[in-house]
Amino acid sequence: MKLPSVPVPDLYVKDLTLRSPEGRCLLSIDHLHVAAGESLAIKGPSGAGKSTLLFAIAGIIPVSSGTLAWGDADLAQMSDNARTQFRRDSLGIIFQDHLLFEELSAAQNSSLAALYNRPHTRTNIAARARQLLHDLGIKDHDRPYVDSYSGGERQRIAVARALAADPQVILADEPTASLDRETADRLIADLTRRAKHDGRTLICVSHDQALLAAADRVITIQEGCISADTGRHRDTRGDNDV
Amino acid sequence: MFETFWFALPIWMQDLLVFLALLAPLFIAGLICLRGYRITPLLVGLLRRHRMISLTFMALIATSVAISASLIAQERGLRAGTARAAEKFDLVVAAPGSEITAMLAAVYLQPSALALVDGDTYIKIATHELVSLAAPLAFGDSWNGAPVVGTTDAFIEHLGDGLSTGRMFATIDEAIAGAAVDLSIGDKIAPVHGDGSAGAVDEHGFEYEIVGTLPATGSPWDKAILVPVESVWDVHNLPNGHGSDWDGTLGAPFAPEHFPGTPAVLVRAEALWANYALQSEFNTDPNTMAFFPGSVLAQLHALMGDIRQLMSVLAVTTQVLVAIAVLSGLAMLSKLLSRRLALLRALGAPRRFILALNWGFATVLIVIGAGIGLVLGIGATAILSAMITQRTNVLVTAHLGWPELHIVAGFVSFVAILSFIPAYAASRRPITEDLRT
Amino acid sequence: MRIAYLAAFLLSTTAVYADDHKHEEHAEQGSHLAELGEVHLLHAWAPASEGGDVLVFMEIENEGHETVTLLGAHAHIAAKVELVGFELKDGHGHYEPLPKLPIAAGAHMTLAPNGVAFQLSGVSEHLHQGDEFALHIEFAAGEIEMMVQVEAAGATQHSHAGHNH
Repeated sequence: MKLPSVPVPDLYVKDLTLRSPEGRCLLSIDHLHVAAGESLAIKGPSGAGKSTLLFAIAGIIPVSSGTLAWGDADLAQMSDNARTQFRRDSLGIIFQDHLLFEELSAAQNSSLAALYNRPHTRTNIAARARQLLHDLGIKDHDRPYVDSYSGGERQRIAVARALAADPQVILADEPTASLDRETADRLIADLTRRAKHDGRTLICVSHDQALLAAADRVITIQEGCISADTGRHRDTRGDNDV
Repeated sequence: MFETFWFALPIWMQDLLVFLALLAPLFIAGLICLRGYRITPLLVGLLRRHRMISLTFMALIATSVAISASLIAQERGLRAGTARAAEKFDLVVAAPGSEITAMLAAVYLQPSALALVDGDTYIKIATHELVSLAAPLAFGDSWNGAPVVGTTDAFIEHLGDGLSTGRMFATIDEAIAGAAVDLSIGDKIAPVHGDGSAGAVDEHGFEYEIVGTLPATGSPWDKAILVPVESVWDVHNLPNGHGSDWDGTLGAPFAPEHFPGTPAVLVRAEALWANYALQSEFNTDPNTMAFFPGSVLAQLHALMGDIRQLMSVLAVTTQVLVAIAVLSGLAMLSKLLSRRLALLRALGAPRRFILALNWGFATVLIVIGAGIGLVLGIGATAILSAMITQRTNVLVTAHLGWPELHIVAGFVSFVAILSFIPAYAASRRPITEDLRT
Repeated sequence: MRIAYLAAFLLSTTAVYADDHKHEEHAEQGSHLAELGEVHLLHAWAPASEGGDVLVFMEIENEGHETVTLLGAHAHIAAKVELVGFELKDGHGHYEPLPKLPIAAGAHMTLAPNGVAFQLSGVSEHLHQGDEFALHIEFAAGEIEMMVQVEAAGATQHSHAGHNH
């Protein structure tokens, strides 16, 4: 059932700057290393650049200068198309308000990647998506519209969507922000368990204490810079400057 | 080489191949653009979610396609109808003047004042060795808006290939009704001078009894009442074409000195060559003008052909303008869709997938809209045909044909190619901004 | 090809009378006029075309006292020439072959679009405006050669129509 995948790469960030089109500095990260299989939470006040960092890590926002490399693949040197392909092949992304296609079923939403991935991977993606929905406790996968699901269920459908193409890395932007406590806790459990179990790297932007506590490591972003880096697996090679 | 092959094909095959060739850009563009992707679930989702907008756009396209297709088909139907109506009129001889006026009067029974062909000339025509049928056509009276035409039994036989009910008139107060005249055998009518529209009714005080009816011919003659030509002369206080020793037998032979003149003479020869020989002879005669309604009509049709080309250009222009309006609408819609498109991009969907999705959406609207337009066009054509038939009494049976299909196919392909522009623009939108809106 | 036309044109300025074998110069009138006894043939023309089927039109005036009968024609440039007459059938116009066409004494016959014409089929050459080609017209009384002038593709009459020759 597993898709063929390369070993999970480490993330290396060095002297990364990211500017707005007007030239304002949005992000300035001197150094960040996330080991393969690690779970990292990013916190910080709103507007500090947490999501910008996450989107840069995903290759959605092009970086202005510096290095942003997943293993040997430096996103800073890649074309937009190459970054998109990297995202397609290696990343699973979960957004704040799940961003599902309301007019599609749960099964169709979670297997969205099958529509634009290589034809021979389609069956695998669809089958994996169904299995994930089942594992995550979503019933009635073929109900024609997803808007009848609860917020928690929808976010779990989004999790299934992120995992359907079997990515080595899961990125999540405030995944619990729109959920009540109980639902959020369940999602955190699902997410961390899935990441740990398969040895995936998990990087979350969140200010949810439960999610921060569940992560191996927490970094704090303030005004576009890393102001704190705490957790069980400290990066040994980097200097965690403030 | 190609030409030999092409002209050896049956016409329907040529038409079909032209149709497919016109659609080819659509298919080729679709293949290139959609290759390797499955956009159907998202496309169906988009159409469902934006069904009001989609339906509106399809309705706009359908309306413009329907109007232009049915107009062009109508023009063809009108040509065929007018030609069919003229078929029984081999050669018309009238006093020199305008061929078109004479044709409108003699074939389409439009009221007009024509000079008369005199008795000597008529006898010369009627007794010509090549002539197998010469019939005077005397217009000018009407009953209830239906033209009353004086003629002979021979012409009536020729016009209807026999009667559908009743018998031929035998006396001067009997008449034959066209198929579309609301009269039956035994009804009595009193015609008036003129077409009855001028208000001042000038009754002759003469009554006819309907003794027979004609089968439908699809021409204005279906609305006509045919009476013995002698009676028309009679009620206008003219000599009745026969001498004092007349025994009352209607029709030929007429006596030239008692023949008061007729606006037109229908002439028929058995062979086409003979008709042309007669035309040249009567045309050379300074007293007469001879013409083939079919030829005059063909000239008018050639003129109409130019108008049709103009109409086709206008129709296509209208369609393209509607299509551009729709594409602009779609460009705005893709702004509404921008968050979903950005989401797909963020998840790793390639730009071409976004392009394919947008293009597919536009093309589905265009293709379905054009398809509905063709169906509506069939209905509009039937309605327009019925209206024209009712107003002109020329039976017009227009159908959508290959020319319309070709225009629509060309239109669909052209707009499908055009819709790459907004689709491309949608695929180049910035992901982050759209994702955060 | 142009040279061939030119040669044909030069030759044709000498009209051939088939009935009495007399030769007469028509230099100033060029090829617009040919005569066979009392029959005058004027303004022969054809629309420009890519070859294939070509219709030839002209005016024929029978100034004699006898009916003359037009039978047909032949031409070097065409595989076949037929005398045809326009006819509307089932709402569509087409040209029907005519076996003969008598022209009464004193009558003028105008061969014109949507009327009578000579239909040349299998024309092997492209006919450009200004070109000329020879047409041999057959009457019951004899045969006469006449030069046919090629007019614009959409023409409806000879460019000299209305002139008096």
